[in-house]
Amino acid sequence: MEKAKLSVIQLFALMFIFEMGTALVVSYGTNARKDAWLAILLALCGGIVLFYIFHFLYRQYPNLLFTGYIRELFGKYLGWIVGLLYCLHFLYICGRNVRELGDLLVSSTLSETPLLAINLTLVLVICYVIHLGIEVVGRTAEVFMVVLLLLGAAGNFFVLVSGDVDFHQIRPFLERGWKPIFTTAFPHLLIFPFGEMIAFTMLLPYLNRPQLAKRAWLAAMISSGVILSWTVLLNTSVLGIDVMQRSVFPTLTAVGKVNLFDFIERLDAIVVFTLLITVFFKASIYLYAAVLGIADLFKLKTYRQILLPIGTIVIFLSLTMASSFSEQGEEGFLNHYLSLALLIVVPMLMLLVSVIRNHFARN
Amino acid sequence: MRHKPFMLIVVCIFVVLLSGCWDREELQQLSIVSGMAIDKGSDKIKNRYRVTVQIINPSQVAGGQQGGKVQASPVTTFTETGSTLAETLRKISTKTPGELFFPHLQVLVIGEKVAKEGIEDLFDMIERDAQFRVLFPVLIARGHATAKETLEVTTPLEAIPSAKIGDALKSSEEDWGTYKSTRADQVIQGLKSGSVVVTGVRIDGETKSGNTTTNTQQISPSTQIEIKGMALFKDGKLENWLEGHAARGVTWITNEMKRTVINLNCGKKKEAIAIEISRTKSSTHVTIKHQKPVIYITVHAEGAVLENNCSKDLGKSQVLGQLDEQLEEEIKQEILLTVKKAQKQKSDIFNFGETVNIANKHVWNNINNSWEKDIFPETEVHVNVQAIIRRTGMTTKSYINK
Repeated sequence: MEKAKLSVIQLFALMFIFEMGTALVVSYGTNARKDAWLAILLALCGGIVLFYIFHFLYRQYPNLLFTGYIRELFGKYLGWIVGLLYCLHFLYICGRNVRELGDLLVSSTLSETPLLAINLTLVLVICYVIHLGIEVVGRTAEVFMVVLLLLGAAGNFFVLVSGDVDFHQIRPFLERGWKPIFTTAFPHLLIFPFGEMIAFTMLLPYLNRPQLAKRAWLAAMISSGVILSWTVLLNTSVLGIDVMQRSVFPTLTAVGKVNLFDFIERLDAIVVFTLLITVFFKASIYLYAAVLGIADLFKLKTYRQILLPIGTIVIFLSLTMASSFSEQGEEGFLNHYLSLALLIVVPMLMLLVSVIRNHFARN
Repeated sequence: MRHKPFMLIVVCIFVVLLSGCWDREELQQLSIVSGMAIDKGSDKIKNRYRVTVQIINPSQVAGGQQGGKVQASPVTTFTETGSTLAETLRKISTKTPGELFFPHLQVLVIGEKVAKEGIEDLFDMIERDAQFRVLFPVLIARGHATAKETLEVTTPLEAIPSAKIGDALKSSEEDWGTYKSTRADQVIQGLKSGSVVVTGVRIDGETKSGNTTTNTQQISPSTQIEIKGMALFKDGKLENWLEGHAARGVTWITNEMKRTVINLNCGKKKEAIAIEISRTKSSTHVTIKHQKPVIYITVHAEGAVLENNCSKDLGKSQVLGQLDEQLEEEIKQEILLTVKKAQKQKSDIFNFGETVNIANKHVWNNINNSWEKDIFPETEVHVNVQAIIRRTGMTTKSYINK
């Protein structure tokens, strides 16, 4: 662990941007069709439950990293293996995020640029900022949070005044009943992005006032959940459910439709910027969590010595994880169940172990 | 400090990387496409489309007198045939000086022959390719002229023919209200749901002489382009044309009416009073009766008298009240005429189906599959118009005494 301190606002900014992540731009929750917004809100409720599990564990070991207390709870060997699994998972998701950004840029704006060039530059910058330490990431997040909010406000404003919004497109409410909403919300939307917050268990020990972690976390999760839900609602009411389901990047398509007085148009750049900012932080946090965890598990003095090699692995991963965009979207059977297990089942088990131990300790 | 030379190298590398050289586009190497026309190529599957692009000739459009030089035409068209849209457009690059650049596309004109055979295959590329924006209007070239010929008519006052078509469409939509423009994204949505209307465009005059600059040297050009008719598509195929009042009904129902002029009778004198409609709002709602939808269309319209060729004293509110009723009846008949035509064609161009869905999703689930074929043509449609004439202009009673 490095010696660093994060303020509550920085943690909130990091969490908020992290949650926006790729979910804001990629096709998200569309299996619930017109009620995707409701599915997201439902998943948010599930996310809050998950949060209480994470938070309970954190309160038990406020000075330990996640990879630290997983070994306390599961024992030296099993804990170590599971901890490593988490680190690998973080690495994989980091690569995924980088890949999604690269794919968006290549398919929307930089059609001739090789994916390698985009991913390479992004990961290099991420490695640089992590090399400077988590404090720097936090401070940067504070600044970019403002930029992000301005971009969001501008995007929303232009879409709303452009006259493309037709809220009839999201009616009728519950067109196909509750079933598709539940099956979309649980587990898919719960994992992505609310369950992904588990990466922050690697950051919480740095918080300067640990008692405020709960407030920052909940505030970030609820605000981002509401914003995601609103964005999906707006996209659906601009594009209609058919286009929404076909579209690879619905937000990009929706904002691209804005045309005010033949003068304010082509605002797609707003969305590309947004994704650039959010993915930068999301991938940074994942990479940081991964290298920190690996450094902790292998008892390295500092995570900086493995930063570049692991960064290289991320680049390699992001390029080879899928041969096509569709393959990337399909996620894969293994990954789906693995993230289900890592983000939901294992924390629950840990909770159980912790509660039982506390019980015996008290006796 | 010992890292300084190393950092300098890194910075240099970043400068090179960040400039993004892969996607640079030099302005002078782009061929800016202002209009695109799609015609039927051959009867076989191979080369079934003949695609024409209209490219702007920047030096001619930019203005400024070029003394002594012979004026070149402000646009140039290139044509190629192919089996898919993408293939054909790439083939055109063998003729054009630079890479085709589509974001400034202003109109897409589709030939009537292609329209009759089906336009379903034409829009996937437009939706998929990031270069196209789906906000340009789509038109159908009517009659004997091909879409290519329509795009090649030289136009006075506006140097670029496709811009002229786009402008005419816009002004007709705003002032006359009969032919609404249909954007590509609306067409795509309509193709998905089954039925859609698309604006028509036709050549007025002799087709051949359109393609010369001498056409614009006349005061009354022998060849002109005009917006005319709404093409009614069913399952991607052109079925019928809606003209005049029937076409205006579509604009009324879809709540896209901005301004228009309606003539009313004055006693025995037919079509004697002209009313300008300026503020309108229409809405559709559905009630379910015996498991069958009943559609109610409500229109609110406000207007002013533009012309009064009879002796009625418009200073009296009672007289205006009678005119209001006439106006309501007139609008109602127009809307019913359109609805009847659509029902006869069995195509729900107004997207009433979605309104039924919103009203009652269970009923809609039952009738969804047979909606256009069986239910829609038989559905009751009630029209309720509320029209008010607010003003009579600068005079009340006309000087005419008859």
